[in-house]
This record gives sequence, C-alpha cells and structure tokens, in this order.
Amino acid sequence: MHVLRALLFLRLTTLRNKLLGNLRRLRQPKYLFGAIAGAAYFWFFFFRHATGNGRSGHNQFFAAMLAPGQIELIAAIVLTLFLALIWVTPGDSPGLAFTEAEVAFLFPAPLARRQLIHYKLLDGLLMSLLGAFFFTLIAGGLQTGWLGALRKLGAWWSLNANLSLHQTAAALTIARVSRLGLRAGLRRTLIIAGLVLLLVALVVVAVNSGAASVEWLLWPARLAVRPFLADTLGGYLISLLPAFGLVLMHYFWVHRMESPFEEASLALAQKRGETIARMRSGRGVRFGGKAKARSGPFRLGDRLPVEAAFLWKNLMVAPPYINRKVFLGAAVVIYAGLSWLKHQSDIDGPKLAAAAGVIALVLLGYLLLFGPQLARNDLRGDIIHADMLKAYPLPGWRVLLGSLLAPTVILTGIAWLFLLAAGLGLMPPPGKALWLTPQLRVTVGISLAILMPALCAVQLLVPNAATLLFPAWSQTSRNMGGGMDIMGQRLIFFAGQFVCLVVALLPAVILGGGTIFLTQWLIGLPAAVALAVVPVLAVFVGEVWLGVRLLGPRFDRLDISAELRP
Amino acid sequence: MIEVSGLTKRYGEFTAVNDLSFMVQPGEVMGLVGPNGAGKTTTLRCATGIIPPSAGVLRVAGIDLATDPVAAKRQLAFFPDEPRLFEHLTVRQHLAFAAKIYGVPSHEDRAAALLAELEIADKADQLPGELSRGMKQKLVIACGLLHAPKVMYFDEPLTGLDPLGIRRMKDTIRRLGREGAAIILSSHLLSLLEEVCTHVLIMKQGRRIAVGTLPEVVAQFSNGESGVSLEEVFIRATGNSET
Repeated sequence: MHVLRALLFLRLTTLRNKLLGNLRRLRQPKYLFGAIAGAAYFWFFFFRHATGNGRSGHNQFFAAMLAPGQIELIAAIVLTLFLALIWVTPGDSPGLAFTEAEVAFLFPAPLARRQLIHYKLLDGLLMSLLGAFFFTLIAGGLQTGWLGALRKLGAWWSLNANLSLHQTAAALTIARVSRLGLRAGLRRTLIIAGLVLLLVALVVVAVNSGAASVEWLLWPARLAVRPFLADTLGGYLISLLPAFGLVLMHYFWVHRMESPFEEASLALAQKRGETIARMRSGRGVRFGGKAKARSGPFRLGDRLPVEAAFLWKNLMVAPPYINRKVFLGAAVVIYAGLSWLKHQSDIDGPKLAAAAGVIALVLLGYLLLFGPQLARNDLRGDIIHADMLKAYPLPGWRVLLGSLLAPTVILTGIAWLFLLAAGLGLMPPPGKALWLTPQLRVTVGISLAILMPALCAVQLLVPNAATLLFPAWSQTSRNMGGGMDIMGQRLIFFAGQFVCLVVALLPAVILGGGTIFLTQWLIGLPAAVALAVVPVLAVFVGEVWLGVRLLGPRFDRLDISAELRP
Repeated sequence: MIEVSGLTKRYGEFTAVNDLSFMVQPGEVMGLVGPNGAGKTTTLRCATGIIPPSAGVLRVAGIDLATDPVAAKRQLAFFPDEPRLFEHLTVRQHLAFAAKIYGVPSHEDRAAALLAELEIADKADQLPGELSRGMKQKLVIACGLLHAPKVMYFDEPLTGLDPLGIRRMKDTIRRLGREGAAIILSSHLLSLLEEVCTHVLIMKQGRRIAVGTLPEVVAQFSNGESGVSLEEVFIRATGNSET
C-alpha cells in the first residue's frame, strides 16, 4: 500500500504546489491580466450555461438525425476500429510511460515490477479523470446542468480509462511478443494479416447469416459508449457498471501480464526529457525524430543581401517536408486533380470541385489568421539567442527583416496552393453571376497571389513586434506550461493580433476599393482590379518597411536577460 | 558488498556488456572507467536493477538482484549523472517522497540532518527550478542517503559542479567509503579516480580490461616503468580510444 500512498503524495503535492505557484505568479501583472482573460473565456464559453437544463446542442443534432441504436452502433464501430488501429500501429510507446524523475527515483527503489505497474496504472486512471474533466467541459457538459455534467464526467472517465488501459495492454503484449524475436515489420504484417483475415471471415459470416450474427464483436465497444447515450439516470447507472467492469478487466489484464518494460520506458523517458528541454529552451518540438543534416534551400552566394542568410538558416529550421519539391508536387496534384474532377459529371465532379474551392478559401482565411502563430521560425524562435544576434555587425532592422523572410515564404507558398485550389474549383453556376468572367477570376487570383507575400509579412510583423515590445510575455507564453493565466495570455495575444490585422488592412482596403470603384468605369473591372494591386501592395510594403525600421532600434536596445528576469 | 558475476547485456545482436565479473567490498570505492560506449552506464543500470541483465548474477549486500530485487534495492542508492527531480516538489517534499518509497519511518530528523550536512537546509522549501545544478545534485544525494544504503553507485558525479561543489562531492564520496559503504563510481575524470578510488575497473567494448587496486592496475600496464600516470595507463589499456 505504500506505493499507493507515495503516488497520492506525489500527485496531490504536485497539484497543490502547482496551484500555489500559479496563484503566486498572479502578483505579476502579465499573469494577472492573462488569468482575467482566461477566466472570462471559460465563463462565457463553458460556465455561463452551467445552470441550464436539458440535452446539449450536439446531442439534439445527432438525436434528430439518428435513432439512439444507430448512434450506439456507429460509435461502437468507430471505437472498435480505433482499438484495432492501436494494435496495428502501437508506436514506440513501451506501454508504461515514466518521466525521467520517476525513472530516477522509482526504478532503483525497492519496488517490485508489479508495484511499478500498479503505480503507473493508478496514475493513468487519475490522468484519465483529469482528461474526463477537460472533455466534459469542451463537450458542453455544463450546459446540461451539474447532474448532467457529472454523468458526462463518469462516461468520459470510463471511456478514457478503457482506452488508456487498452493501449497499455496492447503495447505490453506487443513488447512481450517482440522479446520472442519477432521484428517490428513482421509483427505488424502478422497483425494486419490477422485483422484482414478476421474481417474477411466476419464479412462471410455476415453475408451468410445476416449482420446480426457478427455484432458480438462490437459488444465491448458498445459497453464503453453506452453511458453517453443513456436517457434516464437509472439507465445511466446501469450502463456505467459494465463500462467500469471493463476498466477493471483491463486493469487486471495489464497487471497480470508483468511484461518487462524498463528499457523501453527508460528510452522513452529520455526522449521526453529531451523534448521538454527543447521546448523550455524555446527550440520547440521536433517532429520525426532526430534532426538530420540536409543541404541548404538555396545557394547562399556572396552577392545575396545579408537578410538572405536569415532566410536560408530559418528555412532549414523548418520541417524537412516544407521544401520546393513538395510545394511544386502539391501544385501539380491540385491542378491535375481539380481539372479532372471538374469534367466528371457522373460523380457530380463540378460540385465536388466547387466544394474543394470553398474549403480552400476557408483554409486560406484560417492560414492568414492563425498561420503566423504556427510558423514561428523568425525572431520569436531566435529571441533566446538575442545576445548572439545583437553581436552581429548589423542594425536591428536588418535582423528583423531577415527573420521575417522564412515564415513569409512558407506561408506564401501554402497560401498560393489554397488560391490555386480556390481558383480552379470555384466557378459560377451556369447562367448565374455572369459578371464573374474567367478573365476577372484569373485577374483576382493573380492579384491576390502578388499581394500574398506582403500580406503575410504584415501579419508576421505583428507577433514579432509583440516579441520585441513584450519579450517576457511571449517567452512565458511558451515556457511556463499550462494554466488559465497562460491561456489568457495567448488569448490576449491573439486578440491583439486580430486588431492589428484590421488596422493594417484598413488603409489597403480603402485605397484598393477606391481605385477599383473609380477606374472600373474607364478600364473595366478586371483591369481595375489589376490596377488596385499597386496601391494595396504599396501600403503593405510601406507598413512592413515602417514597422521594421521602427522596431529595429528596439531590437538594438533589447536586454533580453533583464526582460526575462522573473 | 557488490558482486557481479558473468554480467552480460545484449540489445538485439549488439552486446553492450560481455561476461563482466568483479567485486567491491565494504569500504572500497571502485572507479569504473572506459572509453565512450564501453558499457559503463549499462553496467551501472544493470547493477542497480534499473534494467534486467541478459545473463549473469548480481548481488547487492549478499542479496541476489534477480531473485529478490526489492530486498536488494533496499540496500542501494543510485546517483545519476543528471539530477532528475520532480518539478513541483520542494526539497523537503522530495525527501518525504523518497522516505515513503523506501519505507523510512519518521524520516524528518534524518532528512534535516542530511540537509544540514549537505548545506541545503535553507533551501528546504524551494522547488528544483529555484536551485542551482550543484544544489540539485545535493538534493539527489540527500534522497539517496536517506535510507542509509550499504551500496552506492555514482554516475559522473562531478558533472556541472563548480570547484567548491567538486571538492565537497569528493569529500562526501571518500567519507561514505570510510564509513563502510561499497561504492562504484563511473567517470571520465581520471584525476577523480586517483583522488577518491581505492580500486579501478577498466572496460572497453563491454569487456573487462583490468581490475584491481590502483597500484595493481598501474603496475599491470607500466611495463616496468616507474611513475606512470593513470592517464597513461588508461591510454595503454584502451588502445588510444576516445574518452
């Protein structure tokens, strides 16, 4: 029992210290404002309806579309497929993931392997409960009242726990099989072959004896999803019992297996430790394993301006799949795919192409709004090396300008792909919107493509300016982990970014709109649109230039060590 | 006492440690030395029960690590090269957690004495994030010593310490040895071995190259010359391998 006591001590003390630490840092205005913004967000989106009653909007939607039995069937099929996927692609998880500190303290400690398994399984159940709180919240659980929220919490907990324990059991079983000398490739092939055989057998049985004869396969998944669908409290409690029974069975299964996990856990703990260290040092998460040496994105010739060196360096920091070949390949696929689709009237090709065009436009909007938060290989990534950057024989504005180039290139490339898809897919229905001539569509598409680099640069200037003006804010947002205050800081940043975007776009929209309005009578709409590119581009370039020149001295004066002092 | 007999550790077709045998008596401090990839860390991990060996027998204070790992581990402490601590537990809470894990009753007095001895009593209520590298290392040592182990393993104990910290760490290891602990110390710093260790074990490619007291090992590779340094012995023993 002392393992359980130790686990409880560790978790409760950690939670208490974390909360106290978060409360203490509210003495600093940057966290206090963040916490207020975060709390307001939670209140308006989740808790405001806590006193409400009845079913949530999602449930009403699904209830109107499908019968309860159908919902259960679909959910059970999805869950069963997900469970099958766990066995086919178990990843490199050893099943029981320990932190580096847990490895250091617990592995050499006088604990039997089973006690370690107990420790981790109980820990997993606690984490499942926390996950259930989160899912209940974001799934609008509070909108169904406190009792409804509790019901959802129980349902989510049993589902999370079952999934987590099943994943652990699968990983440990596969580890045990691997110890028999079965290589990963062969093992995966055997599992896939087994699943395919099972599927074929089930189809044969279903065809011969009816679908009902193979429904037993969905039985465990049905038990796991039923608590979500119960109408009455009594029905809910009755459905919860077998769901938690499944949890117990899973627990017993993993606990009895006692498969060796230490080496894989050790390796995973080290990997996770390295990832956390990378994130804390501001280097972000690296996907796809260790960094590999690769050739530069272009030849860094002597004649290129110094800003090109920043572009060159920051493009290499980007994930390896962001390169010219992938971009060109995607463009060819989009062009060929949509051109083909538009001519396939038997499968409603034009409609599908138009849908793809609409989706591309929506994605373009998202890209412009959220892209700058994702493509961070600029000054935001380099701010921890500010002392080194400041030692270069360059004025601050050139460092900033150079830093902006890589994410601008990346976002522009993606935006062009979306524009290509939208331009190819979107066509006015026959006989409608006759003013939207092919000539006008091409002009609008090319005009937007010309404006896109400058627009992306304007967008990226905003978070980079924030990094220079409020470096402590931007660093704490990245490194201080979770919490309502950190989430609030991110919300404030995002709102600020949105306001700045509106302000930056306003003069361009007025000038561009004015140009089109005044000249279209004389030269026609397509030519007016093309002409409007000039003032709009001038505004964007002017804004970037002004911003870079104004922020340059700020970078020259920046004392990052003083800014980041707590 | 530490007894290692025929220790072998394989990872697939790669053999990290191959048929390694040695013994460390109470009061002895054995320096484990070898080039990178010699198998030192794997040996330490097997000897502490962190990972299971592929073959061989490991005994800690006379208890077989394979047959009774819990009792064996109760006798040992492992101090890794990097202090890995729980981010949200204070110094005092780390000791409380270690006491629970090792079943140390009424640990408060002993914990307080250890904190005072290691000069971190004033940091008792601070989190790891507020401690220097040396302080963290001291905390790990305090946690490891809380249950009064008879066997200790140090992996690169001087990494990241300042000169004063290095002096204190050396004194601590020497004192623990004098008090009767059997200690294995893995390090690339040959000067540390000369100053602290009574015995040395040289490894290369998972195999034992030499083992014995310092004078014995030096004599083995001095070819009759006098005043041969441990560094020279190491280079001769490992064939100019990179350290």
